[in-house]
Amino acid sequence: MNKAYIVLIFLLILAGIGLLVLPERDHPEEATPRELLSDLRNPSRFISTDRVAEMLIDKDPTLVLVDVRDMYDYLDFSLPGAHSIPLEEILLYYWVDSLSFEKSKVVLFSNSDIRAEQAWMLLQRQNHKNIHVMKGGLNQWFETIIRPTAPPETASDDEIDLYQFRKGASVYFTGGTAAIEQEIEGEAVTVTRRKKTQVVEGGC
Amino acid sequence: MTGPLIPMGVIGQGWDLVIALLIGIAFGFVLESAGFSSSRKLAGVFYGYDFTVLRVFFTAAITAMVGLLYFGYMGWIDLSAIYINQTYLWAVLAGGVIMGLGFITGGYCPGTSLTGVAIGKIDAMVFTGGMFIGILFFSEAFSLFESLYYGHYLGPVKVYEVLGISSGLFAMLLIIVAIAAFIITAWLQKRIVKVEK
Repeated sequence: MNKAYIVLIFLLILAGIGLLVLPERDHPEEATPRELLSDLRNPSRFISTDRVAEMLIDKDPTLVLVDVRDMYDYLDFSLPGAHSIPLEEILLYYWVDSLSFEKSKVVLFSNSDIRAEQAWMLLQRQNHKNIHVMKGGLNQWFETIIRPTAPPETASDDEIDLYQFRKGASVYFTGGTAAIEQEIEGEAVTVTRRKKTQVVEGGC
Repeated sequence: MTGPLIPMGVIGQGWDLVIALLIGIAFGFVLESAGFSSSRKLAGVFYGYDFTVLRVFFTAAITAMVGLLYFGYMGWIDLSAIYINQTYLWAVLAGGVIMGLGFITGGYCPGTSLTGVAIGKIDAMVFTGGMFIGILFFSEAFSLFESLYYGHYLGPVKVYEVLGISSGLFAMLLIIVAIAAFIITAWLQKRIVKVEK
């Protein structure tokens, strides 16, 4: 037999033995529990419903709202201009482009914080930047923006201003119009779902 | 950087067909260089006078397998993100029989028939024509074959998972089988004389 073949056979067997004796190994570059805890305790990911309402009213082009509830809930009701990426689908690779804008603010929300927080944690582990969670979710949205409660008469000016803003926002989001005009600089962001292309299959 | 490059977003999704085209061209070039555009080369596997095809594809398979497993071990590729063909058992069996018959009678497989066409072989052109007629027939009569096509779905199964052994052990076994096949076919080839006309 040709010497080159003998060498190749030897190399193959060696490679095979290598695979046989190597232990199973997990590779994900996992965040350590300590890192996760520090991420979880960092409140900078939260964004208030007031701030979201303000950005929506200002038609801030850098705001990307992502509804992580399931599709039925999304179709039932969602925030204006929100995109639906259910939590179960959030890791699918065709969302990667939609969730990684450098200059924009991706705001995740669900009914409460739970699903949005889970989605945030998953995206955080995928090294996405500028991902935020709308604090309190849609429940908080209804309590503060759609049906704001009036502050007591002894409330500070700031609280009264906030209430007035919320009342205005409520009118804005429930069918009225608000006359707040402010120029916001930034690129308009469009989220598109990539077409699922046919996987190229092999064969001889 | 971790592979596979397209699902991981390292290379844009739209590039897959471009990359497939480039790999296809390289693959065709290698097939032609190895003499696979001759129907005698492929038919030789069946008649026992030429086992080059078996050796080349078996080598390619185990090289890719060993490479992928080592890459996976090193963390350069996420093996769970690799697309694995879905197994529809009846369709695979029927397809295997039809492909095998085509292989023996025509002396080509789909890839080599196209390399044959590229260098102007008439039998390859006839084979390729037949292949497209077959595709047309299958597409038009798909509703007749649908239950066979989707029959006995097993999902993206892996042999070593079905056997309940580790991927390393399966790789080692396959390497041994490949080496045995190489030695046996080399021995056979010496004893079978090709009759040239």
